[in-house]
Amino acid sequence: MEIQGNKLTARLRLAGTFIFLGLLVEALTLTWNNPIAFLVFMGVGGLLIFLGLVTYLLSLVSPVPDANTNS
Amino acid sequence: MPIGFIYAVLTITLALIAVVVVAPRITITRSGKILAFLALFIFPILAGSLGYEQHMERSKQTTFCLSCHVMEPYGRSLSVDDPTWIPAAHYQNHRVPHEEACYTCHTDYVMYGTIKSKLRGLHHVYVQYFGDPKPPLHLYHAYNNRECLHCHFGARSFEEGATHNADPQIMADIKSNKMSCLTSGCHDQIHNIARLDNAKYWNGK
Repeated sequence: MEIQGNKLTARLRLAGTFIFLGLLVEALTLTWNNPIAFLVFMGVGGLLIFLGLVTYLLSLVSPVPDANTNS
Repeated sequence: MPIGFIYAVLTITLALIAVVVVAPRITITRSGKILAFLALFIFPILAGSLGYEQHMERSKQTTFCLSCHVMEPYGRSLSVDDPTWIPAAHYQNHRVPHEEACYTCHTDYVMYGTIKSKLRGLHHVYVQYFGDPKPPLHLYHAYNNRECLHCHFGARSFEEGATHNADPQIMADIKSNKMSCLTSGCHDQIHNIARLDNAKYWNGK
């Protein structure tokens, strides 16, 4: 269960990092009124946020191994 | 949406995410799971949606359109001191909002027109960075009278205009887009960038 807990922790950290970076990109692009800002927001920020959300959702639905078979 | 509110949501979201990233063990408890759900799902979607909406609103701004080098002469044409130049007359007399001058005339006033114009905008960006656009630029489709009539329909100057009513058929053709407002020899002084160097300019706001 410890291994599974570490995996879950790692996934949550990864998801959080992706979303954090994505939102930072969003915050930066909001200071810039230019078509490139929109492209960076969608292409980089949007992608990072999307990856973070997917990673988080996957961590929720990942199977929890039976304690008897995984210790 | 005020930009301050968006930054506030972003700050709160980033703080919540930082808590989960620094101490992921809190998700063992029920309240920790709820916090993680808020931090890694609800708030990012909210903050992302607000950012998207803000970018969409900004993309309507005149300064946004004119930030591309190729649009510079079109922006300059708004200051021409000649009332027969349609964009200049509209801009200078506040017939269109100064902040959204390009968008006001160049969007489609139909269902999903905003989405269509945004898709066209994305194509503009693609051409700007991966193509070789050179003035004079051309519209993808002929300008539709519908965009003029969005404001002018029902207006006295339009409905009672002598030329518009010279023949009943003329008004019918204008309203059905059979006779173009811009290319039928009536209101044909548009951005006219080839003549900008010889034009006189208005210095007002």
